[in-house]
This record gives sequence, structure tokens and C-alpha cells, in this order.
Amino acid sequence: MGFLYDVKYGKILGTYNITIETVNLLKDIVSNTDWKTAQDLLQTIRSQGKIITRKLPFESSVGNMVRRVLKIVREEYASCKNKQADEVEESLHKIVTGDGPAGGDDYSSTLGGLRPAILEHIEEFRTELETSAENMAQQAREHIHANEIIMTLGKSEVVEAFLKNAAKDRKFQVFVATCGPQNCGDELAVSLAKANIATTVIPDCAIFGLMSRVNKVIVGTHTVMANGGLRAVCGSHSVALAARHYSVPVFVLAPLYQLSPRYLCSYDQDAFNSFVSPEGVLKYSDGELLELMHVYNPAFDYVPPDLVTLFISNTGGHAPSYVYRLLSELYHPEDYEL
Amino acid sequence: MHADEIKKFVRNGCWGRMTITVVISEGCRSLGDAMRDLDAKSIIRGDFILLTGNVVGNIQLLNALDRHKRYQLNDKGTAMTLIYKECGKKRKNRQNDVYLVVDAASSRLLYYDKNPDSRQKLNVPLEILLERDEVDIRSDLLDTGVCICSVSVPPLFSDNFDFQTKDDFVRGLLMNDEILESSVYCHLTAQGEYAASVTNWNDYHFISHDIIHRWTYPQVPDTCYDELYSYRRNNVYIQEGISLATGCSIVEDVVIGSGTTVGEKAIVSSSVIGKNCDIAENAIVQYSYLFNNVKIGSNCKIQYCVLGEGCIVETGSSVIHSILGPGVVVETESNVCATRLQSTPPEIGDDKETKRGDRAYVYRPDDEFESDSDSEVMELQNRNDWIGLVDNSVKEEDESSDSDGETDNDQMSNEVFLVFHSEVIDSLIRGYEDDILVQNLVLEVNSSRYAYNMTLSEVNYYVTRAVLSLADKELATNQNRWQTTDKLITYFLPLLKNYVRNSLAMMDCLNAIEVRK
Repeated sequence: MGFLYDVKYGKILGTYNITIETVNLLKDIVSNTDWKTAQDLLQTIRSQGKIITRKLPFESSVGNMVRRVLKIVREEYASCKNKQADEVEESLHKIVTGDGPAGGDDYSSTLGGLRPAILEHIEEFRTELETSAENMAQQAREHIHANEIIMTLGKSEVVEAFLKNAAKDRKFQVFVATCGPQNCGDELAVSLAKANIATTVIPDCAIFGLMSRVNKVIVGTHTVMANGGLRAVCGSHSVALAARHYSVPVFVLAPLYQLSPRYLCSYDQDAFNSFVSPEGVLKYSDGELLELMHVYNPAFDYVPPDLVTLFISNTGGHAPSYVYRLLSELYHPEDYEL
Repeated sequence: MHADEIKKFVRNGCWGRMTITVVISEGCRSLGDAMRDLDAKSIIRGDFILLTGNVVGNIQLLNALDRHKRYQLNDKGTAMTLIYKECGKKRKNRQNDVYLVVDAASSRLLYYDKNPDSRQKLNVPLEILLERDEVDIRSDLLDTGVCICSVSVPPLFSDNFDFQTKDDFVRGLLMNDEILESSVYCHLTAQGEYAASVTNWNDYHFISHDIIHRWTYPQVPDTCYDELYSYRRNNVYIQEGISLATGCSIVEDVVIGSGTTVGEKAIVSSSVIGKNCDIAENAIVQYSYLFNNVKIGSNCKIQYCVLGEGCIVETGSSVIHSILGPGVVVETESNVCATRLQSTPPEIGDDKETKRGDRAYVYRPDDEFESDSDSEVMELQNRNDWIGLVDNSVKEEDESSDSDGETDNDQMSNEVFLVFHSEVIDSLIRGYEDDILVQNLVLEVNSSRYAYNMTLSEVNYYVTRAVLSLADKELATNQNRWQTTDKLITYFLPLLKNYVRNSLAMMDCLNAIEVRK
């Protein structure tokens, strides 16, 4: 349970680190708990996953990783079983009609060699995670062209790496919206300027005014919802709307671990938005004023899928309408609800 | 004792990677005692963070600790770094006002005053201002109750047995900074950091609302581990399994625990409601704190109250500005205003006077049984907020100081004089009876003098008086007044000679004799 405390008290920061730690934790469960059948294991992972996701409601990637590992267990079980049954040839008929022989299985057979197989697969998956930012950055040249003007918002590490990679052999200009009240955009701007990218910091209120000159909007996100909508840093919606108004394409950098099988049903949905301390909107030292009013400082925005032009993930570019397909590839439908 | 409960709590809790050791010190009555005990047991071997259990906050203590270490590099005598939060004029609660004079360059604390209302003035020694280029005088700070201490703090408490509280400690260190060779520094919390300690009901209210307004993020109800609340608009926090009837209005700044029902047309605002409470139809609950299993009847009105676990307020009553202990039952159609109630009869005092119902008795703190309740109530009604629930004792002080600031001080110092006087008499009697060398008596009187901070002329005055009053006591055995006095004076002559040296001292001496007549 040390993991929960580390996340809660900010020892593990950033979605990426939390994701990696979650995978490590799950790997630990697979290798160290006592399980006999895949069914036991699925049960353990699911119950542990439930606890963690309940306690970290805002870190959707944790739940995603649990689902992903569940899927890995299922896959390995199926392949192990196939091997044992010597059903080497998978007929086209079987692939088309169902999930193969393991389709209706209850994962209760005891299989030798399942544990190492699963561990190996998780290790592979972890490597994929670790290289995801790099993979995304490598696609930068395909999307950013010479002398373009790019707009971005706040500070996203994947966006930073993406832009820096593109700047290796191209000249382009970047507008960074500061993204108040945290003003994390400033940090990004400093970092980009150090990498010799022509960077301009703009206040959030200038987003619409400057959008007409922008060629592309590139933003990061916190979560990609099942319908292709975004749960991204506050202010993203206004950027996306401004981009729509001027017909500027919006690219979203989203590594696959951010893909969540959840939908947004209502803006008041639990665990969708998190409201952080109002410091920054108003100061605590404003004193008496505070007792007279409510101050909100939401951390996230919901951006509907139709405002997004393209998702750039570690496996390439996808249209928002393709997200459902990615989901079914990554997670088993039975695991959508943990 | 509480110690067992605390031990049990610590044992059953889940503390992540933190190891908790409970140290039990018998007979500790203050922070000073506890520190001296820790010093005697020599448990602490490095810098430590000192805070009490009533602190709520989200401070990054590592930053503060780093600051403390940096102060230590520049100043070997760094004993304590106090952590403050800028709060503007928010706190109306005057007890916690602190006034600081801080060196602008090094943020070393130079002068410290708490609650100087009675004088309405701040007496800052001139040398503080003259010795430095720039000082900040601040009154907009909130004491977070958290401080970083060096390893030298427990020994300092041991060396100065009169330090009881942190205030004593800071004040003592500032007054004797040369002797103790220790200094105190200040650290202001960074943006977005919050901490405050609950010391009275007024704070309890303000801090609860700071939590509801999310200043303590991420320590807010909707990120709690075991008790998950969902966060709704207008700062409403709701747990699962509550029932809200149609037409009830949960206005704003409300926390409601699971199993609670709110009846039709009831109004709840700016309140915290525990679990399994029942608020009947048409009731109004505002600015109040209801613990678990509280039942509020229909048409009741609860404002500015704290209702303990299992309280029942029956139909049509109104409870305002009051604190109800666990299990109090307020009967139908009664009015409770500005009182504290408990469910069992008090051990001392008249039952009839305190009884408000079968399970409602007026609570009086033991030490002020005679306080005038009428004036209290009047005062409570005048102030339309949580000031009403400030401790009685403090309020009385307030009252007297508001009307006449001087008397308060005079009374204080009069007491000191009397104690000093009797102490001098005691030493003289003992000296006279045991025939001690008078030089030693001089030492004894001098030590009393420093203990009570007397000026020289006061000492002259009281010593003379003491010698003369000794004569009264001797008179009982010996009828000849002149002879006794003569004998005494010859005996104490070296003492008198030691003090009465110039014309001013002679005046003091004569004054004392005059008073005797």
C-alpha cells in the first residue's frame, strides 16, 4: 500500500511515473501472490485494482493499467491453453466467429508455464510504455513542418519532447498559453526557449485573438475518454473551440495508457474533475473577501471528440472515431468495469 | 487514561511508511513539561518538527526543513523556525493575533507579541529598529502551529523551568537572546500551502470552512481514503446512502455523512452533518456542526451550534450560539441560547439552577462557577458570529480589558508585589531564626528580586516593610516594642545598608515606614 501513499503525498508525480509504478505493482502481484489458476489471478488483480482505483479516483491511467494487465493474463492463458491442446493452426473461421477456444472459458484450468509467460508479457508491455514518449516524439517530423506556427497550452512533457524533437531539423514558432492560475506554461516556454525554439508566451485570454495566425494546435491530455473526448488541463476546451472557429487542426498527444474505457455522462460526474485549492484564483490573504464568495479552481476540462482532429499515440495517428477500436484491442470488454 | 486510547488508535491506524512511537509522560501539564521530559529521556537527537494534534494542513515540510537548515548554516544558535501563513485580515478571532517584528534580510524574529489588545499598542524596543537596515512589522500572519526545532530546544526548556508554552519559549528566547545564545526564525508558507491549528470553537468553525473551501487540498473530504465523499456544486460534500426529501435545500458549504436524512423544506447551509443524523421537515440548520446520530425535530432552528453525538432537539425548539455535549436532549418548544449543555447533572452546584431538562444541564467549567451569566448572554447576543463560543475565561478577560485596560495590568503587578513581599518576609524570618549570615540573606533577596523582576526602589521599599513587619510578629512573644525593633534592626543593619545607599533609596525607605503607621 506504500504506492498509494507515495501518490497521495506527491512522491510519485506525473501520469507517466504513476503508470509505470502501477505496472510494477501489478507485476509484483503476479509474481509474488499465491495463485493456482488464471481465474484466481484475475480475481486478485481485479480486487486490488478496485481498491487502488477507488482511492485514486483522478488517476485514470491506474485503472487502465489494471485492465491492460488483465487482458495480458487472458491472452497468455489462451495461448498457453492452445499450446497444450496442440491447436497450433488457428482457422480463419475461428478468428472471425469468436475469440477462439478461450472465448467462453472460465480460466479455471491449471496451466504450467503460465506465470513466466505472463511476467514476460508484462515486461514487454513495460518496455513499450517506457519507449512510448520516444515513439511519439519520433513522429514529430511528420506533423510539424517548416515555418509553421504551433500553439500549445500549459506544460505537458510529451508535448515538450515532441516539439524538441521536431526542432532538431526544422524551424518553427511556438505560442505557449500560460494556463492560469498555475501558470505552468511558463515552465514549458523556458524549456523550449533553451532548446532554441522561437517561443512566445501568451496569456490565456489571447488564445482566441492569436488563433487566426496559428497553423496547428498541439496539446497533451490527461485521459482520452471512450468516445474520443478529452479530460485535459483546464483551458483546453477554449483552445479547441477557438481552433474550430478558425479551422485550425487540433492534435492531441496521447500515449495509449491514457486511453480509458469510461464515458462522461454529466459534468458533475464524480471523479471527473478535481477542484484544487483556490489559491491562485484568489489569495488566502484576501481575508474577509473569501467568506463572501465561492472560489473554484478546477483542474480539468472536458473537450468533446468532435473538436479533436487527430490523436497521436505511440503507435501512430488515430482519428477520434477510431478510439473504440483501440479500446477493444487494448482491453477485454469484461474488464471495462473493474 | 487517554494514553491507552491514543496507543490503541496508533496501533489500529494505517500509517504508510511512517513509524509512530508513543511516548507517555506522566504528570505533564504543558508543552514545557513534555519537552523537559523528552530531554530527560534524551529521545530526540536531531532537528525535529514540533506540532500538536490539532493541526490541519498541506504544508511541504521538507521545504521548511531546508529553510531551517539554511538558517542553521548562517547562525549556529538557530533554535526554532516558526511557520506562518499570510492570512490578511481574515481572522476576527483576536486571541490568536500575533504581532511580529522580523529582520527583513535574514527573517530572524526580533520581537513577538500575542494578543496585545489590552494596550492597543506595540512596544518595540528601539534598539531593534536602530540596529538593522530594514525590519518588517507584521500583523497579517496566522500561526500554523507547526515549527521546526533544533536539537537544542529540549535542553533549553530544561534550563528554563518557567517556559510552559511555545509562546513562553519564543518570548524568553527573544528577551534573553544574548544569554541563551539562541535565535528564532520565521518561515512563510508558499503559495497553495495551508496549515492551521484548532485551539477554540471559533477556530474550529473557520478552519472547517477553509477545508470545505478546499484550501487544504488535497486534504479535502472527496479525497479521503476510507470515507469517500462526492463533491457537488456550491461546495456540498455528500456521502453515499443519504436521503434528501423533495423541497429541502442544501444551500452551500455543507458536508453530509452517510445514512443521514433531510426532511421536506428543511434548509441546511454552512454546516457539517455527521452520519445517521435525522433532520426533520422545515428545520433550519446553519453554521453548525452536528456529530453522528443527532436528531433534529421539525420546525427547529439550529444556528452557530455544536451538537455532540446522539443529541436530540425536539420539535419546535431553537438552539442558537450553543454547545451541546453528547446525548443532550432539548425538549419540545424550548429556547436555548448562548449556553453550554451536558447530558448529566454537574457534580457540584445546585441542580435546580442548572437543570434545563431531564437530560440537559448547564455546563460550567470548574474554575468559574460564580461568573455572571447574565452579562455573558448579553454579550453573546451582541456578536453575531462564532465569537459567541469563545471560552468563558478568555471572554471575561476581554471584557475587563475593553472597559479599562489599566486595571488589568495593575492587578497583575499587585499580585506580583505581594508574592515578592511575602517571599522576602519568609527569607528574613528564616534568617533571623536560624541566625544566618546577613550577607547570605542579601543573596536570597536578590534572587527573589530577579525572579519577580523588581526594580531597585521597589526592593528597598519592600525590604524595609518586611523588616518592620517582622517586628509585629516578634511582638507576640516580647511585649517591649522598642526593644524588639531595635534588636531586629541591629541584626538586619548590614542588609539595610546594602540596599539603602543614596537619598532616593532613603525616600523609599521612609515611604515604607510611613505606610506602616
